[in-house]
Amino acid sequence: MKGYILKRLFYMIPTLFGASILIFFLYSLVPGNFIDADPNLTAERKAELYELHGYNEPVFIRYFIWLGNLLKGDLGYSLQFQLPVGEVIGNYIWSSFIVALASLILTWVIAILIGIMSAVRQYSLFDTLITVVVFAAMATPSFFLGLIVIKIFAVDLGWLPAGGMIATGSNLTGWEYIKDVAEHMVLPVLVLTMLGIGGLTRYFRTNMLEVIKQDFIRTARAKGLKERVVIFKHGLRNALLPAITLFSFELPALFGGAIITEQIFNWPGIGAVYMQAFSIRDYPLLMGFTIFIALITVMSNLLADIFYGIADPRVRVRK
Amino acid sequence: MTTTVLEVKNLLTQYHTGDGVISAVNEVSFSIPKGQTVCLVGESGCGKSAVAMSIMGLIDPGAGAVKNGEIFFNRVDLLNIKKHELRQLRGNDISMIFQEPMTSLNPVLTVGSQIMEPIMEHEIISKKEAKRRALELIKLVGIGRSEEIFDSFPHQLSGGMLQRIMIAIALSCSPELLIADEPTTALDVTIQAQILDLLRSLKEQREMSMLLITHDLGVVAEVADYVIVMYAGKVIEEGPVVELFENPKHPYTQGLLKAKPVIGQRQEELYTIPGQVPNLATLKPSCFFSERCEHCMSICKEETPSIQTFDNEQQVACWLYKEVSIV
Amino acid sequence: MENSAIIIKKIKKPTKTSLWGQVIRRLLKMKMPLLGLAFLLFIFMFSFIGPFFSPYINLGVNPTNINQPPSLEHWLGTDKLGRDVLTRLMLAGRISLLVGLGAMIMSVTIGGLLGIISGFYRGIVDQIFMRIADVLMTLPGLPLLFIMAAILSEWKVPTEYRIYIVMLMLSIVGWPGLARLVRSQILSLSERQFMQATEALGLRDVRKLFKHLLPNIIPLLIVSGTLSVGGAILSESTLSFFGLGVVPPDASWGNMITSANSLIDFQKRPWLWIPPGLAIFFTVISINLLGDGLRDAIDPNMKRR
Repeated sequence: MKGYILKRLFYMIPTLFGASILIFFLYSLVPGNFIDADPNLTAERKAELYELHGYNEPVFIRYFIWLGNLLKGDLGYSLQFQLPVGEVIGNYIWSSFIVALASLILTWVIAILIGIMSAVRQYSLFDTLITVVVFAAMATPSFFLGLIVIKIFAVDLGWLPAGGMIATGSNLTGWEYIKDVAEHMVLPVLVLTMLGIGGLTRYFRTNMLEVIKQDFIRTARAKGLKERVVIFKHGLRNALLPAITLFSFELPALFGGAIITEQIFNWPGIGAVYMQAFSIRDYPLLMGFTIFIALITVMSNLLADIFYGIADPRVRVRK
Repeated sequence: MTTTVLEVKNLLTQYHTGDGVISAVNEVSFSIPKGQTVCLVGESGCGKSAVAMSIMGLIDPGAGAVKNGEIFFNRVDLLNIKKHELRQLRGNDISMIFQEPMTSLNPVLTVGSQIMEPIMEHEIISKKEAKRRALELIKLVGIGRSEEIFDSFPHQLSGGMLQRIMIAIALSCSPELLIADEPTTALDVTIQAQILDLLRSLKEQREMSMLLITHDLGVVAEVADYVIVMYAGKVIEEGPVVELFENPKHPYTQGLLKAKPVIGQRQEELYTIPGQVPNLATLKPSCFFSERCEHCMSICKEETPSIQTFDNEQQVACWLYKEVSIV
Repeated sequence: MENSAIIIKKIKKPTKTSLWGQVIRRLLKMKMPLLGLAFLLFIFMFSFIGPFFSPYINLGVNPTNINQPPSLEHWLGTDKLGRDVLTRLMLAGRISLLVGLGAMIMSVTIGGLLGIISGFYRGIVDQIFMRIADVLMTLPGLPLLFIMAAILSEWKVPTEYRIYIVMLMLSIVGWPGLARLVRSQILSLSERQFMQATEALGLRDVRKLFKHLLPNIIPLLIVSGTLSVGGAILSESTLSFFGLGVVPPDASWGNMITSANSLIDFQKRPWLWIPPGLAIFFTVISINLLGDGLRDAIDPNMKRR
């Protein structure tokens, strides 16, 4: 197992290297930069800044400087925040994380339950209804769903705040503060859950349909076990196994922020910061954040394999 | 007078297929006396397994259902008892083993926990006691190192071992009736004989009745007391094993026995029954075997023969013998 | 012991209809995919023929008639430049559908080709293509699209070429997944008996590819191609909503929803942004239903027992 993990870690290197090349050269293709975009700067100040940020060097030299810094753990220096990129990410990632975590938990619990229920009652009215809802969820553009939800719950009904993380100008503390944040979280979490639930429900439905056709389910019934035990002990365990991989693939989303949803709901997370950085061309932040996400993606692919190996006895022994 | 454990009367089980509704089990009647082994013989797709699944009440409601008939187990009407009552019989009084031991056990649970499961479900018993029983059962079905086997996962064991484990599970609550659906088909020939011996000796020790489903006449000759031959969902011949093997009456049974090679008698060519099994969805009233039968008469194409009893307890559904009795 | 099993082995009847005949017959039995197909036909006619029946097709901007709510003359009202929203919805449909189809054709071509080559020739070619695919799949799709879009908007691509650029961008993000799918299919086909037979027969590569492999992956390409049109339309609408895809004066469903960014339009003039949203919703749902039905029709294992 140890050798296997080391081998996998080794295989990650070329992928990350490729990702760094792609990210750097894509950004360097974008004409214009932070310095040129600021009309208040004098020509001398611009020249100074060019020198300071190394813009006078050829592109590939700049790449190696950047890569060298990355390897030292330095993601760059955000021009907009005047802070190290790592620090900016650290400041904003947790507000993204709480929304992502809440919706991840909700999505999985709901998807597992209704996926299994519609598999067990395949072709029933419930199953058909779920299928329709799932198709609808998969066909809605995220920003449109966000707008509709704001229109209904915040504008027309006035039940919940339309955006932001806390009420404007409020300086609540303690439980009041938590309650305020929670209220602001409801709509973004709702939208993210609705977006994610479609694919996952279908996945569990298909998996479970596959599993309940298996011979060992028939054996479990022939033993005279209760149907609940047959489905949840014998069926669910086997249907959950391949989902471990999928779960690991969702990890980057926990830290990556939801660009569109955060933008629509004005949620101060890393996704919204990313969009801002776009409009003012804060490249160090954009590049640093993108490579950070690439790293997390590659790591979670590895985690997926390791988790799977631990959970499935068939893989466990072979290693 | 022996008591009857299982009695099946006019069982009709139908499945929905792409071609339409088929009667996989068509007016089948038979009974199993206490302590006897009844063999259900026929080709794949003749409805043998559907009989077993009908008795167990395990037919997938999306695929088919028992449409008519009666199934009595110790005078309890299995088709008309409540779902949970039937469930309590399954694995407890009637248990079943299947053709594919490799896929019939849950891959993510240990063998031991799967043996303990029916015991815990059907009896009020502590976990510790159940484990002791499970270990005993593993020894009973002829596997040593029971502690080690108890903690292993199915993929770590061979097919023969897994079938022994399946038998252990089936026997865990000392059932009165064991249904074995092609228990040896998926195994190597040497293992087949061991499993059959095991089944036969366990049946005798525990005074169980057994319904053995097979297409293999070798197996039948070895273990059966009574044989039922099915063709296209219908019983076409039945009788005590010796009579049936010595004096098969139905042309299909004769064909089956002729097709079985006998050691010491080399034939130029193995006998085969010409033609193929009819499509069950398009059957009309007739003898279903008529198209492949060398003695086919005009009546065989028009009417389905009913079953008729001979002096030696043999029963046959064939027009050849009807005419004889009329004349 | 096995002999009795041999005689009774059921011989499968030869199928009378062709594979595609069967697929179409099965598809015709399914309600939802047909409903999807019917709606798609409708939306195509709505977008491509519809404008010719509109009295407003050539009028364009009309400053005297701005921001009208739906009425008998303007069924979906007018926008801030006095243009008829219904007519714009039709014209936007042309672009959204074309972008979806174009992106699909490009990603199926690139993904299919690279997948086939990788799976068939393996070795170093396979390694190179799959590492590129890995890298592209490691980067999150949306930021990647944003970066590309930002580059393009800086390059000042003329608006009439924008939609081709958007197609290209979507296919750059879309091909890796498809290439992997095709590659794994080719690899598993190569393991099968009939491919080993072509090896034994000494068939030429071209013949193996076109006669034996391609027909077997075409169903896969059709199904994933169909489903990818829906994804492409969704991505295009997101890009256009953020002003990074199709830009005005060209209308796409995505950039029509942009009007919701103005608070007054968002709260008081829902006819500006809800209809394009619904158009996207129903089009994508129909595409997914059709794609799903096609998959069930092509793969007999999935059909109802």
